[in-house]
Amino acid sequence: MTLRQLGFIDKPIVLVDVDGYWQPFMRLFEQIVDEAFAEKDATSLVEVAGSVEGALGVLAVGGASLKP
Amino acid sequence: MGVSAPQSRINVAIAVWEWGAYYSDLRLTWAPYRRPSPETAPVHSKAAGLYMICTISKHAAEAKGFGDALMLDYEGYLAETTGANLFLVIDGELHTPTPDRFLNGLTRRTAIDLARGRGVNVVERRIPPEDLKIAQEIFVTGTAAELTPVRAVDDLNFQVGPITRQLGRRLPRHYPRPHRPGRPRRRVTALSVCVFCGARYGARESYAAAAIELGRGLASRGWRLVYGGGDVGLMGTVADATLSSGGEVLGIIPARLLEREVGKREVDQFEVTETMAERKERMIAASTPSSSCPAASAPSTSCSR
Repeated sequence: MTLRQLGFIDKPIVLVDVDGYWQPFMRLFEQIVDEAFAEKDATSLVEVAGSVEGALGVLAVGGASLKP
Repeated sequence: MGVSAPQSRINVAIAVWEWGAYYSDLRLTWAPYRRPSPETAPVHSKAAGLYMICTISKHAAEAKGFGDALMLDYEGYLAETTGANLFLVIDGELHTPTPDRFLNGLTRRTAIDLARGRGVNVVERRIPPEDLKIAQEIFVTGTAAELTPVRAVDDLNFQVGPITRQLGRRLPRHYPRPHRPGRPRRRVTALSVCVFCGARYGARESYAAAAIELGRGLASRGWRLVYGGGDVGLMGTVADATLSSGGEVLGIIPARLLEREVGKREVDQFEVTETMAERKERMIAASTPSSSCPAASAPSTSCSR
């Protein structure tokens, strides 16, 4: 994610959120933004998919670009 | 005579035709000419007048009933045939002439990568012609030749051995698939998806179920799995699921983890790196190199071990 934020790679990153596994991580991520250690758009570095199908769907379309 | 050419107009023509096997049952004899020194001709080019000595040598070989001529370099070491790079298998190692006096072919480089990926040591060196006598297998590589076993050099005979067979089987997977006329080309881009996941199974069965679904999903889309090369936990699960569904798998593992993560060598491609950082770099590079290139992450990251 750091590599993507700093522009070293521009490949979509998807978390497969099986049974809410990644929710605590995303809350930590929100706190990093809330406490002003990262820009608000930093949350777009990674996409969270609720299912494997959803994750494969994100990969198929190439994910959200960081620079529209 | 030196003709000054920079002001000439350049015309390019491309001809395309069906081409069967370049060699069949390849037997070699010695060429009448040697490859020139890099100080004599631009030896790394395909269009440098080198074709003249190669064509004469090939004709001479064919006239004697051989498939091609084996050429020495200007110092008397093995170079290559008139149009394909040379490999010798000596005691399980792959030996090939250092390509500083002839073209370092693309297929040559692919064969070396494949061999190293399979754990075969590759040695590039000056090879005296006497070493043919201690070689167990010989083959040549080239865009036209692909990977062709050499059956004989003059009266020295060679078997088609296991390393030649193994590399020969794997090489065609690295060529772009030909487009069949009349059938619409699929517009779906084949992706290489890098998956980070646990070297353990985690506390819930749903994690392994997701790993299986992910492996099958990649295979059914024709996408390649790039992963940490282990055979333990969800790593092994996602690789197994991809393989058993007919998918392609590239495993990349640092040498020190071969034991701990149980290097899974039956995958299509297997790379061993020195360090963790090198593995990460290789994984990023091996994933589809464009903005559409994805990295997916299954239930737990490899960092969380």
